[in-house]
Amino acid sequence: MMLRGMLILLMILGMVGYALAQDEQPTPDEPIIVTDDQVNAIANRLFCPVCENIPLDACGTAACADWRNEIRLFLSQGMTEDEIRADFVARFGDRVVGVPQDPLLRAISLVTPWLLVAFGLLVAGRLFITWRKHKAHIMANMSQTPVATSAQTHNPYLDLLEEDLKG
Amino acid sequence: MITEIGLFALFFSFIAAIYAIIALVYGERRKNEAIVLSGRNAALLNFGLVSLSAGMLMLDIIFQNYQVQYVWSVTSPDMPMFFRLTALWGSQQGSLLFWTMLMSGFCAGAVLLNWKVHRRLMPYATAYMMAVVIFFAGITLFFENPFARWWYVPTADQPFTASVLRPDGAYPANDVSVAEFMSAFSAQQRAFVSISAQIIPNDVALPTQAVFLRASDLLPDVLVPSAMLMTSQALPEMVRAGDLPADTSIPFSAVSNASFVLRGDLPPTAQIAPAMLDPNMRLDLVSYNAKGLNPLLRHFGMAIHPPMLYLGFVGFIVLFAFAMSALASGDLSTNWIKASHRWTLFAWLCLSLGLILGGRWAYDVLGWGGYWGWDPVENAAFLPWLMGTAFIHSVMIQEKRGMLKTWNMVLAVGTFSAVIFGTFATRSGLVESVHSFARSEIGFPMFFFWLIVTIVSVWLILWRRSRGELRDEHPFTNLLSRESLFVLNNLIFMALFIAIFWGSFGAPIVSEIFLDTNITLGKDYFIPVVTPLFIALYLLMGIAPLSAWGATSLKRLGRSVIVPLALTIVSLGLFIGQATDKNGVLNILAWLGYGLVLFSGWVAIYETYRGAVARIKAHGESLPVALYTLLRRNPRRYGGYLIHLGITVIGIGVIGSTVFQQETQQTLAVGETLAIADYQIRYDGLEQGQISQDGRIMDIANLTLIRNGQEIAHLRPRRDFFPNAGEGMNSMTISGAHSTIENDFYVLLVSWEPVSASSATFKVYINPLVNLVWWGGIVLIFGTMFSFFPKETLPERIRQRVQKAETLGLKGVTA
Repeated sequence: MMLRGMLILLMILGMVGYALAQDEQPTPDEPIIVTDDQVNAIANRLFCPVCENIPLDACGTAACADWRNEIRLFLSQGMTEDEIRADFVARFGDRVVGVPQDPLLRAISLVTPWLLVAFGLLVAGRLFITWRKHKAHIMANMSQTPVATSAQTHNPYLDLLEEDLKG
Repeated sequence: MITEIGLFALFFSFIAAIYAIIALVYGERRKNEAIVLSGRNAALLNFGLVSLSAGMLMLDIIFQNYQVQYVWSVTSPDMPMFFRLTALWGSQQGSLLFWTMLMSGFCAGAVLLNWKVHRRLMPYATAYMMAVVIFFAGITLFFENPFARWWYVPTADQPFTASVLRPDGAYPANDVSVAEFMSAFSAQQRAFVSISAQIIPNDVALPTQAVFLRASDLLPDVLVPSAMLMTSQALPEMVRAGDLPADTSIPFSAVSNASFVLRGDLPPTAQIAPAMLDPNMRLDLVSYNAKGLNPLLRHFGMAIHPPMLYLGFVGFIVLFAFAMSALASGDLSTNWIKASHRWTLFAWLCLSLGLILGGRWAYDVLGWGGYWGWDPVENAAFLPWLMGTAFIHSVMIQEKRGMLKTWNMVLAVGTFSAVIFGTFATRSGLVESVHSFARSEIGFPMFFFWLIVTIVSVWLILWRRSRGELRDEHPFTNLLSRESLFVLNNLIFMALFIAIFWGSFGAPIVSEIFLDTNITLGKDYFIPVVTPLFIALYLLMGIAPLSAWGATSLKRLGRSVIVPLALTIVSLGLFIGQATDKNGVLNILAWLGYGLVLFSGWVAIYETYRGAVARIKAHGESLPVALYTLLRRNPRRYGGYLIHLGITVIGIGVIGSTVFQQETQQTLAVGETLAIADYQIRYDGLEQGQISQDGRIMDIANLTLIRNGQEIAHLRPRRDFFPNAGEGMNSMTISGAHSTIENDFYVLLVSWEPVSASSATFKVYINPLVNLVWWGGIVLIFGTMFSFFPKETLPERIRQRVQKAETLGLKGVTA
């Protein structure tokens, strides 16, 4: 009985919520007001299709102003940021976005530097392992070499500092 | 005459450099000191001649010798002397000559300062430097001659351009019909000349602020087929030629000045429309349409940013030359490092300064509220900095422990290779950006030069390595040692190098060549990729100074970390406000970022303090004396700590200004206010058409900045238009900013109502802590300058006494 009551309550709440959510959506007659900030937020992540390497929001050409107006129009028509970006890529190619949308290009762009870095780390790791193999040998040699440190002063840090100050 | 002297001086400098190489290499191999010395002198002469050449070009610019194409393209009669002086490096040809002069200057400096001390290395080092100078002098002479005159190449493909400026009163006061106007030109001129006219009305408030006409529209027998009439304030609207009525009148009555550009095969002294000119006017056909400096370069920072970058770039030639000389001569001890150490540090300082000033210039002039846009040309300058910084760290291991010999060679060569590649990328048209020079013919020569330099260098390194001459004197013994941490630091620098190179050049080139697709990698790529690497770098910057050479125990390292860590935790409390976003939510990651950066800074301070305290205890010195002694005994170490401190301050500024930047854009009517954070700005009005001394037309907005109900500043963001700038960039957005230690309130004038100016659109940024980026740069400069100080060395007699005293166990003698 209680369970049923809770279910009914949930249904009512759901319906009210749905109705409220519907109220927040503009009706077809009501235009969506698009602010400059919304336009710039998208334009900032697009490059000017004609002037290379200038973000669309910062480009001062008349063409870029038109493209920003286009973004405003798309937003007012209810398009999402991803849809607008996809539209620009479809028209001008992957050069207008900071990272290509094409899956292959995207993978190549993002993975390659990490692969190269990983390779570098592997090489370095291998070198460290090789060096450590010499450690026992070195330690043996060091044990035969008199250490001119704490015997003269009682501050190990000062010994290290003096060693450093020799340059 | 000035021009001819400049050209011949450049030519003879080229010859002198060739002679220097031959004499130095031949003389050294034959052990003929006289020939070697003549080669040395030729290298010095080269600097004298290149300087003379650059000086003559400067005189051409100062005296406005517009017959020289370069002068015509970078200056104009109304340009102030300050910008005229900076025009020497304002475009490709002049900047190449300037570059060559600096490079030759470094060579001459190295010859004068290092010849006696490093006699064995110097002949080959000088020869290598001269080889690079020859290349740059050669491309300046044969591809990008800054002394070319207009009439040297008046071909159909490259006609000269000339113009006439009409001063007030030179043209009729009334409007003239097009046909009447053109009747002043002879039939011959009409047949060969196309004319564009730029007319600026007297009354800038008129909707038509600029009128561009091409006479080919107006007369059928003129060459250029299209024409346009451009109207309104920012040259935005074009009316096609066909739309012009045949009886169009030129509104001379509303004209304050006009210029007419001729393109054709007429000599530059041709008289144009003499009937229309004031007979008292001294007519110089070429000068009056001189373009003037690129508007973007008309900024105080441009007086020092390019020279600093160039000094940084070319300064690495000394490092490269000594490394190559060591490889060629077989002197693979640390002599090449000692010989090049200060030169490298100087180049690094200049490059750092150039990068910081470049950021400041972008912040002031490019009008996008930031200072680093991950633009390929910015990155091209950053790449040698990264590799040079790695070298400066790693070379200490070779000096101290005789390790990483091959790696240091790779870094020395790689740094210069990155310089040449960056130069190639910037000047060849490989990448396009607001920074780069126009596409030019020097791309292929420069690419091949870069390839040859790199291949030869790598081959020499491999050859010496295969002979076992670059073998390390000690192996690494412990992962927790300073040398191991420096190696890690180098790895991070290299990872950053790879990531940035790939994003700027690798991926775009690979995708274009193999996938036939143009791509651009922007901040969506760079920020996620480089951020973890910078985090690792700051972490190492904090830990490495606490470690010891050879080996450090984890326990000792842990003990050393306690104090800086405690200081970091305490000081982090001050940054809670700076790590809170506009909704009042603490950004934990950014806060931790501040903590990491602060930790590395505290370590630098703590290590200096700790050293001083150790000396106070050991030698009974006062704190100032202890500090002074430390600094004098190893300025490189403590200068380095100061540099770390500078990098810390920069890091705090970067986190604040990027993570917590706020921006908004709104259109305001006069009297309306815009609110952002706890600020308000009120739009008070627009001053349109202000004409400055250098000919730019400025539209300036007046804004009042209000905080907590108090007016705290008046800001004047503006748009500058450069009517004579020609094609491309002819306007600039100059911000209005209110700077405090807390933040910059930064406003841009985006657009406005053309006639009434009753409303205007503004883009407003709040850039928290951004000024720390510049202040950190200043600390970094001081630190590097400090590292230059000569290390205190004791005279031999005193040193023997000290050693004797030490063996007897006397305390305090070494102080």
